[in-house]
Amino acid sequence: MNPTTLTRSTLLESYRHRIYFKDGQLIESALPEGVKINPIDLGLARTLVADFPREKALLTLNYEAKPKAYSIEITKLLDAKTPVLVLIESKKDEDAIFLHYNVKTNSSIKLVEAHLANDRGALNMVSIAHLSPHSTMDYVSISTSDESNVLANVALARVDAFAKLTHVAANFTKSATTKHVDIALVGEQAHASTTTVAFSHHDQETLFKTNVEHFAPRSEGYIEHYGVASGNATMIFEGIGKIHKNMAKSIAKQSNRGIVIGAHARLDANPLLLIDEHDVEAGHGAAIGQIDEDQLYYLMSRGLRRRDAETLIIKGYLAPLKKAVKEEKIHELFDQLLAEKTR
Amino acid sequence: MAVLKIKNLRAKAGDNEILRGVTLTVKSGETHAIMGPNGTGKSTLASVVMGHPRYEVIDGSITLDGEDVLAMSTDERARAGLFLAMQAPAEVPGVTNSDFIKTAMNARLEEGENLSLFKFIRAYDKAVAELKMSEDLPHRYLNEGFSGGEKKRNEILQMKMLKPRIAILDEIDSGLDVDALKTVGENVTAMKSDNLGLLLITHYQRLLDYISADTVHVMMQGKIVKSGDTDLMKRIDTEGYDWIKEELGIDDERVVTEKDERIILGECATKEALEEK
Ligand SMILES: Nc1ncnc2c1ncn2[C@@H]1O[C@H](COP(=O)(O)OP(=O)(O)OP(=O)(O)O)[C@@H](O)[C@H]1O
Ligand SMILES: [Mg+2]
Repeated sequence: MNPTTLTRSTLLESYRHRIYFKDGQLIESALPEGVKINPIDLGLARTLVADFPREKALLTLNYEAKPKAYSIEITKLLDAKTPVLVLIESKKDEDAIFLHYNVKTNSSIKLVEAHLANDRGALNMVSIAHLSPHSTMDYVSISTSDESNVLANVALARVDAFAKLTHVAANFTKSATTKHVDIALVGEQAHASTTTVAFSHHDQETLFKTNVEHFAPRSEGYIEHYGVASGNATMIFEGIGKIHKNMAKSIAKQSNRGIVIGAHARLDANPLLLIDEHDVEAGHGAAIGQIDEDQLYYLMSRGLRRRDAETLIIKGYLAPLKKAVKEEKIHELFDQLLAEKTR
Repeated sequence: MAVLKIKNLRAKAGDNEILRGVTLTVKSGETHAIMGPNGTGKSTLASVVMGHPRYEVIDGSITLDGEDVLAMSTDERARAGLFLAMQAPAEVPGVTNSDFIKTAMNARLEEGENLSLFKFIRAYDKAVAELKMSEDLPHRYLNEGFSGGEKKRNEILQMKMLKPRIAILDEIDSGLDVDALKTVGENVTAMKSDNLGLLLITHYQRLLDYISADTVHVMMQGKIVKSGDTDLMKRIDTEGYDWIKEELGIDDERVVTEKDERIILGECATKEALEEK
């Protein structure tokens, strides 16, 4: 089975509740009570993007590709046992999709968004999540593509008071990829953690920008980047935690970890903390380098061949993903997608 | 029947010669204990036998059943039947304990053969229970956040699963409470057979109350300076090492003396200064 077919079928088999887009068209939607999808007009999409509180947009919706825009409204407390899959498959030359996730007060959702970009196409996918006060969103995104594709993905989120966003993004694309996560914490005690796990190989050029901006006191933002770069790949992590003046007792933390395999791959992390208030907790740590010699030796001392030991250590980076997604089949899919990059 | 033969082994780390002519033979069915003050080269000997990349062998030989161990990579040594329970095993985040052992066991099978998952889980659970380890262990990440005692038990768990022919246990007793020491001791003793040769590195005679040894060696200055039976160990336990040093005319038992150490530190400092630029 080719990788795309496998990924598509594994995803569709694993999730009963789902929304399936293909080449910009809504093919299927099977949703639990409390979740609704409706088309919205581009004017509204444009306003939503323009109104997002941040200093400058880095990537936006490709209006020339005549994007399709939808709003997905969540009005109930849905637990992690009722995950909703949003599958976006694209084979078109230029495909653009805009999704507005509107999580209402006291509602919650577990969402798995998957991007499958195939054939010569270019997928531009922009989402904006609004988390109303006291809502929660568990937001996993999985990106795959074949070699000839280009993926430009923007995930914006606006988190209101006492709301909590947990975002985990997995990137297994095989082509040039830009991913931009931009989170605005706008209400008191808004909480967001965003974890990116990315593997780049061959000649891939990949950029992951994560921005968490604190517009409210006692807000918490956590950025984690895990990366593996091999072959001639380049990977850049840019994480910015910004706390505005008077947003006291806020927490901004960031960590960057990465493994560089071989002499030609590059992985750079540029963590930035912009703090305009003294009564906060902020910090960042980084650990990027070759595979740890002692770990490798330890595994090999139990009989693992070097390659298997390396693969296992790299697989260790999938741990946050596996924690975020419970479905056994998806774990296998992750292993599979990783294997395609490490063999 | 396995025979590990170490002959006149000399090895260095960087510019430091640490092993300065170690000769020792361990056969299956035998249990040897190595004692010796801190910094005399015991762990280095274990690491060199296992092929740690940070050490370079300058002279001597190691063979297992006549095969040249020094020509083998670390993983080949393991698959040939060598095992080292490490004094300070590495932590590997994200890799679960059970995944790791499963992969290690699979690595020992012929191409095309596959480990029966059912049998594996049964054997694993049994070993976990015998070592009185917690049930969530299989799902925990390899050594990450393990207490000192848990790490030691985890080393023995791997030994139980991998069934080596020659096993070196480096300070398996350190960091264990009395009950844990008993558990670990009983488990190791239960593994004793005509097919297993054991080399125990320890500071205390106490370990030998649980795992009996036939021969005791004392290491100083990167060599084995004295061998004997368990009476030797008892004497060390009560009197310390001074009498041996006196007997042999050894002044400073360590491999790297304070004078050397200053030189190493000096080098590191220069290196760091260079890297900062
Ligand atoms: N990789 C290394 N680089 C530099 N020096 C080393 C290295 N490994 C060991 N040494 C030095 O060699 C000496 C012997 O170390 P080793 O760990 O073998 O001692 P040991 O006998 O096991 O001591 P202990 O009883 O404290 O465990 C020490 O002085 C140590 O600092
Ligand atoms: Mg030691």
